Order: sequence, then structure tokens, then C-alpha cells
Amino acid sequence: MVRKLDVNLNNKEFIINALKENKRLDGRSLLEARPIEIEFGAPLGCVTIKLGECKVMSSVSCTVTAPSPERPYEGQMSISSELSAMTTPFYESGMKGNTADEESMLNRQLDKAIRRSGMVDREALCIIGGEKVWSISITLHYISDDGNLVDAGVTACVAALLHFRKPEATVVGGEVTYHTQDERTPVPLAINHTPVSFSYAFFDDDAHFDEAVLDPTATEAQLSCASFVVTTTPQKELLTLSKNGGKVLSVQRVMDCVQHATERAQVVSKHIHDAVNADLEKRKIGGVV
Amino acid sequence: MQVFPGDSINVASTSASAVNGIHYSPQTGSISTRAGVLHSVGSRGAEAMDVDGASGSGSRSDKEKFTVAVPEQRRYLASSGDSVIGQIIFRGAEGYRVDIGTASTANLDALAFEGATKRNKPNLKVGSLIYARVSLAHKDMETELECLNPATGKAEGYGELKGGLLADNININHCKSLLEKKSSFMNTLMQGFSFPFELATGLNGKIWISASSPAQTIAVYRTILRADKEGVDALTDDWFAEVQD
Repeated sequence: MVRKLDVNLNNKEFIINALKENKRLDGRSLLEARPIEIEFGAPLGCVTIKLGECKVMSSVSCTVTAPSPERPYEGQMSISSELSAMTTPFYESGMKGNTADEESMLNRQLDKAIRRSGMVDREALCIIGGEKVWSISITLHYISDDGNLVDAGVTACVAALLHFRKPEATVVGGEVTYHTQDERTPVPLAINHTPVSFSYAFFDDDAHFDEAVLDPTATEAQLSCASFVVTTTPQKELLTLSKNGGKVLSVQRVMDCVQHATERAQVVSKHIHDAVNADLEKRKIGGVV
Repeated sequence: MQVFPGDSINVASTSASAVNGIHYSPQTGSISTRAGVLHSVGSRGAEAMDVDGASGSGSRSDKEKFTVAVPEQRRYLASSGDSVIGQIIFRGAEGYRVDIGTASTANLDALAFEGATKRNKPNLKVGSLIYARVSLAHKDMETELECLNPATGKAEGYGELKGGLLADNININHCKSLLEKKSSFMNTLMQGFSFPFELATGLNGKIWISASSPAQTIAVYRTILRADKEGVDALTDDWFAEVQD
């Protein structure tokens, strides 16, 4: 297995000293995120997100299945993502070693932020109650990793779900007809809210540096000892809070991060919506608000 | 001249080596093992000179050395005499194991420093950076490094790199161009910045940067990364104004 080399002592010292002066290697300040670039693939619901050198591709597809007996009027949704050696050579596929931990953490975070937060109205995915529902599946491909795969992954999922259109289905006397794209314009998913994720990195007490660092790069993440992820919506609803690593965070620090995240969420969400709507406009398909 | 792997090239067998990307056998003659551009590196490693076209191919002397340069080469192949930057990854009784970006690690003897004796050896920590010269590079043996000129016994700039910042995974051709005598890249950097800074360029795609403040070091670091990504032409006056802001 390829082992990741530790950050050399010179860079470690330099990066932490520079952070104390509110400077980062790519010219950002501590609470500045990398600009999000959004590209769209040929099919609807295929989106590539770039966060600096970090790149994640997401695609959405749908099938018709029988609903679960406990929830006969709800559609289904699944997110699958896997870290592989394509992302960086240090990841192994097949849930081994450190990759397994990182992968399960990422998947749990995505599941909480997208699926369990109720981003998509599941009841609107019902075709015939108890018989037929839409099953939406999101597949994520991490193409390259430069830190902060969580934010990139959440953004990719959100953009893909906003961009996706499912075929229209009509029910006449228990008989379902699925219309092709030529017959009827495909319909957007019923979106309740747009989750936006913000990752903050924290450094060891030995470093005598206590500030939160937004959107850490791979090197910064390697040097940090704890991370704090806030998922929120532009309406200032908190969806998830998750803290990993050993550092003790004060209440004030947590409140500051949440405050910052809720303020930034509107800007990021607007950026995603604008990009999606601009692309749909180009394809002569109406956007969602 | 552009060549592809397997192309016959009209150079003497003396240039043939894995580092130069040229393979020689009596049956096939000299063959390129890379896709790249055939360069003359002169008879004594003088300034690189392009030998575009086949003109004068008949008069190439056996002493003239050639190499096939890959435009986007980032993977380092050890070659003796190269100055490289390495990271100590293990310290033993006899010396250090150093990562220089090659497929396997290199060895640095504890006595290969200026003034080092059995009793007075340098004390380098795991994770520190050193500037060293490749003293032995052979496909069947561990690469050897040294931090002194064996002829004079002096350090001549080699040794531990203290402080500063390391830029990693830089195009090796850019590193080579920084070390040229009249380097336009180096000139651009020197004219662009109003403050003094120090560089140690390793031919293994690593550049160590040091300036008096973190802000200045970051400015040089970002400029080098930009040149690496977008080319030296991207280093306009506007860029220098922006990065030093």
C-alpha cells in the first residue's frame, strides 16, 4: 500500500506560523473558501464540481421500484460514493485501512446532509401509493482530492439534484404511462431546501493556534487535529453538526462557526442555483427557483 | 526533434541511459524510450541546446550528449551529480534514509557532511529537509546522496535546509531552467520581487523558498506554482502586483 508521506517539518512550521498571521499558501485568509466551479455534463443531473484542485463528479439517475411496506407513499433515495486510488494514490478501494474510516465518514456526512435532511420531498416521488415509486440514486466519483471532499461532495450532490429532471408519469385507472423527453418535458424533483456544507479545520494545542480554518487543503487537513462540519440552508436552518478529532472546542468557537456558516450559506446557495439555472436556460429547460 | 517511444534516433551509444530516455543495442541502434523532444545537452553538460530538425545530423560527434526531454516530466529519475532536495524519513546509526521523490528511497551517510567525524555527526530529525547531491545512481543499487563536495570536503551550499517553505511536484524542466546560467525564469522572478529571497532548486521537482516574512515567502511560492501551471509567460506585472498585495 502507498503510504502518505508526513508533511515535512519546515512546511509544518511555516504553514502554522503563516496561519497565525491570517495567511495561507494559496493566498486565502482563514475564513475564505476556494471558489466553486461548476461544470455540467451532457445528461441532466450530471455535474462536476471543482474546489481548487479538488474535483468531484456527481450523477443522478432514477428507476421505478416498489416502496417499502412501512412507508408506502414515499419514494426512495440512495447515495453511493467510493474513494479509490484514482482520487489520490493513498486511497485503496474496497474499504481497507484508513480509507475505510474516511469513506464511511464521508458517506455518513452526505447521507445526513442530503438524504436524511429531507432535501428532496420523498412523497412527491410516489407514482401509485404502495405499488410504484421513483427511486433516485446519486453516484459520486471523487476525481481528485485536495482536501475538503465533504463540502465538494455535498455541493456536487445538491447541484446534481437541482439539475436533474425525471420523466413525467401519468396514471390513468391504475395504468402508468412514462413519457419520453420528446412527448413531455421532464419534471424537476420537489426540492425543500438547499443544503450547504462548511468544513472548518482546527490545529493541535501544541501549535498554539486556536482559530478555525475554512475549507482546508489536503496539506492543511493533514496537519490539523480536528474538523468541524456545519451543514445549513440559506434559511438558516441547521441540518448537521459534526465534529471529528480530539480537540476540545469552546461553545463560543462552535457558535462562531455556525454563525459564519449560516451567513455564507446564502451566497454559496445562490451561486449553485445561478449556475444550474444558467445551464438549464441554455438547454431551453426552465430552471427551479 | 519530436520522438516517440521506439523511434530510431541518430545519436551515439554514449548518450544511452534510462535517465536520458535513450536505449541502445547493437541490433537496433539508439532508440527513444520516451515521447518527448530530443535535446543536445552538450559535451560537458553545457547549456541545453535545441537540435531541431535533422540538419547537421551527420556531423554529430560521439562526445555530444543527448537526452529526450518530456515536456511534463514530474517523476524524478536519479542521476549522479544532480542537486536534489530530500526529506528525512528514517534515521539509523550509520545514516539517514531520504525521500527524494524516486520510486525507492535514497541513502545519506551520516559522515557525508562537511567536517563530520564518527564523534561529531549532524543531528537531523525525521521530517527535516536536506539539500544534497546524488553521488551514486544505479538501477541495481540504492541511490546514495552526499552533502559535501568530495574533492574539497566543503559543504558548498549542501546540508540541512532550515525554515522556509518547500514547493513540491514542480515540472522538472522548470527546475532545470531555474538552474541555467542565464535563466529567463529566474530573471523574471528577480525583477518581479522588490525584496530579497532565497531559493534552493532540486532537480527532483522540489524548490525550497525562504524570505524574511511569511507573506513574502508565500508570494514567491504562489508565483512558482503559477509559472509551473500556466507557464513563465503568465508572470505578468499585474500578477506580481496582485501577489505582493
